[in-house]
Amino acid sequence: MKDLGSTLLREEAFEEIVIGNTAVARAMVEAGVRSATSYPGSPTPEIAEALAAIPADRRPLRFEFSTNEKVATEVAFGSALNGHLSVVFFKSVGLNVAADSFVQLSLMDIPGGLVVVLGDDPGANSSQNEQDNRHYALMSYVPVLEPAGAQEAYEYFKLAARIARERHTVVILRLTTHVCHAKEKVRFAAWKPEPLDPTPRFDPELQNYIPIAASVFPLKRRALERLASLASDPLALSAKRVDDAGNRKRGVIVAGNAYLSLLDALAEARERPDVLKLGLVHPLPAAALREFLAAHEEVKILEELDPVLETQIKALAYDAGLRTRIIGKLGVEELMGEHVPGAVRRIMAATWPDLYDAPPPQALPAVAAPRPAQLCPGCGHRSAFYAVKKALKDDDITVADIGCHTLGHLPPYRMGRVLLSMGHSTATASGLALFNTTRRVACFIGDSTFFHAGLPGIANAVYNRHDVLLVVMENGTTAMTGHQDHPGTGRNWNGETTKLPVRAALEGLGVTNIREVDAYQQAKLTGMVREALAEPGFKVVIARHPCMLKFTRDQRRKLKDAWKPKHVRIDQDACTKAHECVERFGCPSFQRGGGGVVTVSEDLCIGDGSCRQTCPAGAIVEKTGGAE
Amino acid sequence: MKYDIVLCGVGGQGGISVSVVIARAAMAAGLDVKQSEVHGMSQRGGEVLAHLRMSDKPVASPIIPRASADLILAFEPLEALRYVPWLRKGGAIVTATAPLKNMTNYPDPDAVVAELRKIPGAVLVDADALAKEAGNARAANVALVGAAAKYLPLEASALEAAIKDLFARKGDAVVDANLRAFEHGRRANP
Repeated sequence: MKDLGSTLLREEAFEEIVIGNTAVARAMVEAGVRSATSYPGSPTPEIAEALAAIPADRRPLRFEFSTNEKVATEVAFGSALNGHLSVVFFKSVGLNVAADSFVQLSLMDIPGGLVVVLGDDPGANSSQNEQDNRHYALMSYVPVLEPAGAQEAYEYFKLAARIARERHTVVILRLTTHVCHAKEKVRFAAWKPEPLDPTPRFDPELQNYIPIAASVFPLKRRALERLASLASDPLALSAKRVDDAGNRKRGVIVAGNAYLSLLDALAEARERPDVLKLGLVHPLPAAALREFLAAHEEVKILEELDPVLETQIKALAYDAGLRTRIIGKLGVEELMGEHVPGAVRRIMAATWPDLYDAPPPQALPAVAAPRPAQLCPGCGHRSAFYAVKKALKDDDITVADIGCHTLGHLPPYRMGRVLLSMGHSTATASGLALFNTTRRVACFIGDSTFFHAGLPGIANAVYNRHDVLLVVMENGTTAMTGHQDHPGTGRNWNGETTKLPVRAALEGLGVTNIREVDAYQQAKLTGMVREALAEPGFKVVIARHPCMLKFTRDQRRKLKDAWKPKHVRIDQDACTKAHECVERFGCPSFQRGGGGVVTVSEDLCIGDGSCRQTCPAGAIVEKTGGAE
Repeated sequence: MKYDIVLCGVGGQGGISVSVVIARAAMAAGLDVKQSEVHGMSQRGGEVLAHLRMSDKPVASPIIPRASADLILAFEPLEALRYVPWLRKGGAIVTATAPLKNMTNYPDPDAVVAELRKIPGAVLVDADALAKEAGNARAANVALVGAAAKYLPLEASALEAAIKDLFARKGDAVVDANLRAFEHGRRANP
């Protein structure tokens, strides 16, 4: 099996089974992308993992994880202004962060071309909502290509890059979770490396790059005209297909991954509707749509999430005086969740009740309790939550931010009970502290999120004198998305770099009340939180411990057999069955069996020892080789 | 011919990685293959799930609907139970028996096993023991593939070739242990 890095650089045409994200990485290489930027977020981080697999000296493009999606977008814009084909990729809600700059891009002449790869998340598999980013494309006049699977993701990326470069503009490639993460065999073309032309070609005479007041209008006019002209561009129009089943009564208009679900859902149908599968979803190919509508009596618009195609297609039919019955969303359920094959079959059966002879086969009932997401064994956040909770009263208010520590809202900790978005915690907590003299307010933030969007809320808390405790849960990495570095780690994607300690950043923002402790030192952390909460104003406790999943992996790699973790066992003679370990500390390694006897799972315990201090009877002891 | 497999387990078990063995063997046999994975929120200890679909015709969606999987390959018994709604009538379940009880409300393991035994076509395998017999405790997932081999529309030799290919970079000892684990698995469910 060839390694991934060599695969991505193969110069002859080849086939390989890959996920959509990997297919996009190869497309970036083939298209001649020179600069790529991102902020890690599911479902897109594997694009960067694929690029990382290419040896640094052979990498045909420069990549960075920027501090957030807005910064990543701006770096990509700048490099594209100089004539380098550039890409920025991030998750669905990342576009909210990037939006202030993103919405300006269509006003700009971008000589290198810029592709924005979005990982939308219908089903909210790993996001705080399932927002439909096509709305952003409509409001900012940006074209969108939407693939159904890995092969199309590869082809549409190259098409998006071509359009962006030829038209000096920005194009969105909109992926969704199951396009990013589904594997299929992809046919890749040959590739010939080309040397980088480093000439900085930014030319302020090319257009007025300062859109203010009246100077906005010529730029907006050009953006609108450029978008409209794409609707008749043969290159862009090539991104669609018609499955003509000879059905002149019924048709379906669909885009993206839902197309593949539709194929499955129609496999058992009595009748095969014609299907128009769109690739270019903004602007819509009006002529092709009018022709398809006119050729059918009834057309179902099948689209995941919001009725974005539906509203536009209905308007288009109205304007064209078409009498076709257009069937859109049939209820709120159709705006929610992924359009997986089972869901699409239900939708099609609701659309045309005579489409199926029989209902789908009856599934056996589910009987298993859910296995909740949880902090890993050894996680410093567990230790921190356990200790912080001891310093709080039951009715004190705690605010979560985004990251692994969000899981603290689950039992037994119940810490961090409200969540909006990346970096919100300090400012939301500040509001909760207003007029509030009885319930103290503490909030949490991870270190990657601290640099991403946490800083303005902290500056505000200092500036406007908010009475809040912030606990920075510093684990030295961006853990949840797969251990990417951030400005506090001293490493970037390309190697060693300046380290920007969290404490120095806090001091720079004017925070004077700062305490630091290793999150494993629970008594000390509890004491610090107690002290800090008794003091007025804005105060910070940095609870630091490396992500133990990463740490133990690194140690094992470095030390091989010499790595000796200190696993624990329960001294059954000493155990008083107080159950502090299972009920309050809550490490999953502890298993309560019959008669309340607690044992330690060898498979789960990582030998961190952070639990030993929690047992009131001292019954959690180091395991010294022998049998329990 | 189409064949749909739901693979499930718990993060950190390394179970899902063996789906590559089956996928590569299917590709070598000239079948079209699609696989989808759900990358969950937790890094370790949460549910992990993959859908693997193969067919002699083009596979459309990478996602298997409920009541239509031909095989559930489970690396943990409660996870096997969780995905029972995906099993088609007459489909097979091959599951490891060792529970991973990292949740406070994990049911009585004997009850889980009893529930699984009620389902026709369920095969329960002590994959850990098979792997240890084969000389590599980490090969339990490959042993489980062995135990499922007779249901797959693939030759055992094709699966063996894919095992060799997957572990080649880790050296002959690892390859041999995994081939033995596969063989032990096959013998456990002949």
